[in-house]
Amino acid sequence: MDVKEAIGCAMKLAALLALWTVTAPAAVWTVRPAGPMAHVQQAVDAAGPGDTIRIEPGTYVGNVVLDRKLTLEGVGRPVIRGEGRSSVITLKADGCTIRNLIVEHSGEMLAEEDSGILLHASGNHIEHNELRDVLFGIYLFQSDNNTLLDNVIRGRAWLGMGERGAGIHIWNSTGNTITGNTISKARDGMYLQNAYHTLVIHNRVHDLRYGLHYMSSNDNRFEDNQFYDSVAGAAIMYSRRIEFRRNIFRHNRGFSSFGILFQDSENCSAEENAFVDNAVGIFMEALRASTFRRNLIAANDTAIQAFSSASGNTFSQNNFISNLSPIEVVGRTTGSRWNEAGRGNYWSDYQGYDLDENGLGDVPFKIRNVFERMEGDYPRLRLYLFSPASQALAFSEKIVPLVRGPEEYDRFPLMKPIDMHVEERPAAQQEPYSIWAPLAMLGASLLVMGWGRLR
Amino acid sequence: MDLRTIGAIAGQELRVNSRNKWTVSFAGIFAALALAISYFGMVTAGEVGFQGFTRTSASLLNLVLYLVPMVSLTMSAVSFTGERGASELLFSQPVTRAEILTGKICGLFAAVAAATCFGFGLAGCVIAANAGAEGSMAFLVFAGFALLLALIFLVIGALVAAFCGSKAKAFGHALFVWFFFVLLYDLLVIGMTFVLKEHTANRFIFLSLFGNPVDMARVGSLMALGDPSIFGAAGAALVKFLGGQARAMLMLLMGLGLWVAVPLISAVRVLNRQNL
Amino acid sequence: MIQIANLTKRFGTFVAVDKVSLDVQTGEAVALLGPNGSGKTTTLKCLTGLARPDGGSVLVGGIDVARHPKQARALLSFLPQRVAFDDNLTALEVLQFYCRLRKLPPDRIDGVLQALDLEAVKHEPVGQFSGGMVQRLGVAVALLPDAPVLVLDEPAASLDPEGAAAFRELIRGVKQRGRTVLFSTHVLSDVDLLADRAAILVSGKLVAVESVEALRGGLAAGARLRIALRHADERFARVAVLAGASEAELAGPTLWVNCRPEQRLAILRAIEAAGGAIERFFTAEPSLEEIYLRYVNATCAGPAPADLVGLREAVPEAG
Repeated sequence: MDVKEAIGCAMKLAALLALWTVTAPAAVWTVRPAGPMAHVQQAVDAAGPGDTIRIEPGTYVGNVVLDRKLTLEGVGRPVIRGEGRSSVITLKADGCTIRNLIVEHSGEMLAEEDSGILLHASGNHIEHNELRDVLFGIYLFQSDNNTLLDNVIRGRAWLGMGERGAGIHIWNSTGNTITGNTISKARDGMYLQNAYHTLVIHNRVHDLRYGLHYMSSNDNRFEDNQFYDSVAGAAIMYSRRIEFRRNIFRHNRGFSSFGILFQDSENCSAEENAFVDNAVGIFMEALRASTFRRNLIAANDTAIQAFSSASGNTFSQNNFISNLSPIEVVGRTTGSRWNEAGRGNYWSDYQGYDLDENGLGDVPFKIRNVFERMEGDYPRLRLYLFSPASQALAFSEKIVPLVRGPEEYDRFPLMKPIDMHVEERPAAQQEPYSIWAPLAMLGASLLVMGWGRLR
Repeated sequence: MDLRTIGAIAGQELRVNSRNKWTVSFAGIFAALALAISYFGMVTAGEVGFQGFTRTSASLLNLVLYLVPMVSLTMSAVSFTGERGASELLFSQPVTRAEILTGKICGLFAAVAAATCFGFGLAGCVIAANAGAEGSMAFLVFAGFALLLALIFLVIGALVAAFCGSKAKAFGHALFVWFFFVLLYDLLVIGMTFVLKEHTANRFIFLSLFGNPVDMARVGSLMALGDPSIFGAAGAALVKFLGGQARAMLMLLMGLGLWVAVPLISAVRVLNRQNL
Repeated sequence: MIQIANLTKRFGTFVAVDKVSLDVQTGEAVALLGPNGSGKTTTLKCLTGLARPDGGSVLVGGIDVARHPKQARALLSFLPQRVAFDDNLTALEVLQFYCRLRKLPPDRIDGVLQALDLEAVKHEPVGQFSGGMVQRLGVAVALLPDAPVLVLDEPAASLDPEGAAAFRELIRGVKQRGRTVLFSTHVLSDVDLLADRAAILVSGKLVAVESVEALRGGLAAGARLRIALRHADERFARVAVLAGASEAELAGPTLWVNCRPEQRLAILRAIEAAGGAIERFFTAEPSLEEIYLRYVNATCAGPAPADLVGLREAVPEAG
C-alpha cells in the first residue's frame, strides 16, 4: 500500500466517519432532577451534534451554553433558571431548536446583552417558550434566518422603562422570522437595529414603550400584529422600505403616545392597518415617499400628527372616522397628497354632497378647521378642544376666512367608508356593572320625576 | 338651617318643576339628542369594525355644555322670580330666606338632574349595549360633571334672579350669562393669549379655566373620558401646573365646588337685603 | 301683641312709610285704612319681614321682626293682597306644603278646606281655579296655622261675595279665639264689621287711630242733610241756620244742610213752619275719600278740626 493509497483510504474513512455522524440516528438524552443527568449543561456537553435533549419537569438552575447543534425540548414546561448573571441560554451553534421551556432569571447588564436566550448563530428555532424575569427576552446577535415562534416574553416590570431590555432584540441580522409571540413589560417589544428582511407576523405586544422598533433597518415587513397599551405601537426610525399590513394599533395613550411613529424614514407602505383609540394615530417626522392605503384611522384624539419635515406621502382610501381632530401639523403643512388616482379618503366629519353620484364628494374636504390650524402653532389652545368657542370659530370660518394660512384639502373625499374587516380587538377587562350604571340612572330619574308628577 | 323645612320646600319645588313644560321638554329634547348622538355614534362606528366610546361621549359632552347651563339658568331664573303673591306667601312663613333658597335650589336640582339622568341613562344603555363595559366608570364621572354644572348654573340663575327682580329681566340676563360663560369667556381668553407672552399665556390659560365652570366641567369630563393626554402637550402642561393628574382632578372639583358656594352665599346675601 | 314704633320705609327718595307707630293689643282687630299708595301694604310687609325697615322697629309678641324674622313669623300668618300659587299644584298639595313648612298636624287641613268650602276641589290643580277660589285658598293657608297674629292685606278685595261673607265669619271666629288681627282695607264696611279700631294712613303717615265707634260717630257727625224743596228760596237757608245748622246752602231746588244728627228734626220743622214744602229729604254720609280728605287737610294744611286734635294727641308721637 503506498502513500497515495493510504491517503485515499484515510480520506474514505474520514468521509465515512463524516457520513456516519450525519446519518447516524440522533441520540436522545433525558435530563431529570433526580436522574443521573440532573443538569442541562451536563447533557449538552455529553451529547453529539444533532442529538435531542429532553428535559423533564422541574427547575434546573444554571446557565446553559449550546456549542453544538442540539434540540432542547421541555416535557411539561420545565424551568431553566439562570444564575442571575449573563444569559440563561446562549446559542453558539447553528440549527438548534429550543422548545417548551420556561426560561428565567438572567443577568442584569444591558451592555452584556444579558438575555433569556442569546443567539450568536443562525437557522435556529426558538418555539413555545416562556421567558420571564429576563433583561432581554431573546437576543439575536448577528444571527440570520432564525425562527422565533409562539414565545411568551414578560420583562422585568419592576424596573424603570430605561433599565429594561427589549423583548426581542435583533442586531445586525437578516432574514429572521418572528411569529405568534406575546411580549409585554419590556422596554421595546421588538427592537431591530440593522436588521434586514425580517418578517414579523401575528405577534401581540402590549404594556411597554415601543411595540416594534426599527432602527436603521431596511426592507422589513410586519403583518397581522396587535400593538396596544404602549407608548407607541410601532416606531420606525431611519429605515427604508418597511411594509406593513393588517396590524392593529390600539389604545396607545399618554401625553406623547402614538399608534405608529415615523422618524426619518422613507418608502414605507401601510395597508389595511387599524389605528384605533390612540392619543395620536400616526406620527410622522421626516417621513418621505410613503403610502397609506385602505387603513382605518379611528377614534384617536389626533389622527395624524406631522411635522412639516414630512413630505411626499400619500394617503388614499383610508377611513378617518370619529377622530377628535384629523391632523395636527407643527409647521405649515404635512406635505401629503390626500388622494391617488382620483380617489381620496373617507372622513366621517365630511359634510359635503355627491350630486353626480360617483361616490366622491363634490366639495373638497378641508382637513383642518381654523381652530385646528391655530392649535398647531399654539398647542395650549388644545385645552379648548370641544369647547363651544372653538366650534363657533370653526363655524364662522365657513362664512368668513378668519386666519390666512396654508390649508390642506382632500379633493376627492369618499362618500362611504372603504369596506374593510378589522379583526376584533383583544377583550377588555369587563366591568360587571356596565349596563347597570345607565339603567340605575334611568330608574332614579323616572322615580324622581314620577314622584314629582304624582298628584 | 332646618333640614325638614328645606326638604319641604325642595319637595314642592320638585313637584312644580317636574310638572311644568320646561322640565319635561328639556328632558325630552336632551334625551332625544343624547340618544341620537349615541346611537349614530355607535352605529356608524360599528360599521367599520370598532366602537368609539370616547368620541361618542365627547359629542354628548358638547350637548351637555350647551343645554345644561341654559336650562338650569332659565329654570332657576324663572323659578326665583315667581308671582308676587306666591313668593310673599312663602317668604312670610317662619322660614329664613337662606332656607327658601337652598330648598328651591335642591328641588330644582332634583328636577334638572332627573331630566339629565334620563337622557344620560338612555344614551348610556345604547353605548353599553354597543360598546360593552369599557369606560362605564368614565361615563359616570362625566354624568357627575354634568350634574355639577347644572347645580352651578341653578345657583347662578338664582343670583341673577335676585338681582333682577322681574321675570322678563331675569330671563334676559340669564340668557346673557349663558352666552357669556358658554362662548364669550373662552373667546376672550383665546384672544388674550395671542396678546400675552408665551409663558404668561400658558399660565393665564390654565388659571382662566377656573373662572368658568363650563370650562372646568369640559376639561374634567374630557380628562375622565380620555385621560389628560386628550389635550396633548397642553394637557401635560396643565397637569404639571396643577401638580399631578389626581390633584388636577381634585382642583377642578374644588373649583366647581367654589362655583356652587360663592354664588349661593352671594344670592343669600342679596336676597336677605331685598324687599319683596 | 304688635308694637310698631317709628317705622320708616323709603324706596329711593320716596318715603312709603313715615315714622308710623301703632300698638295692637292681644285679641284686638285693627284695620289699616287709607287710600291706595298710602303705605298700608308696606307697613304690613315690614311687619311680616318681607320688607326691611329703614328706621324704627316692629315687634310681634315682643320679638323684633328685623332681627329674628323666623321666630317672629312663627307667631303670625300673612295673607298677601293678591295671593298666587303654582298652577300645577292641587289645593291639597298647597295646604300640605304649608302644613309641613309650619310643622302643623295634617288634620288642620280638613278643617280649613271645609271652612272655605274647598273640600270638593281639593284635588283640582290651582290653575283651574277662579280668582275668588284662589283667594279663598289663600285665606285657607293663612288660617291653617291658627297663628296668634293674623295679618291680612286687603283680604276681602278679591273674594267673591259668598267668600267675603264666609271670610267675615271666619275672622270673627278667629277674634273670638283671642287672636290678634291686623288688616288693611279701603272698604269702610269691613272696618265696621271686623275691626275694633282703625288706623288711618295717608301718604305714609299715620294720621289717626280711632275706635270704630268714634269713627262711626264721626261719620254720622259728618253726614249732611239734603232737602228737596218744591219752591226754592234763600229764606229757608237762613231759617235752617237759625234752627241750629252750622251751614246751609241752596243749590237749585236742593238745600244742603250741615248739622248734628239730633238737630235734623228741629231744622226740618223750622223749614216747614216757615212755609217750605219739603218733597223728600236724605242724609248723605261722607265717602271714604271725604274722610281721608278731612284727615289730610287736618295733617297737612289749615287748622285741624277740633274733634281731631284730641285724637292726634292720643297717637304716640315720635320721640
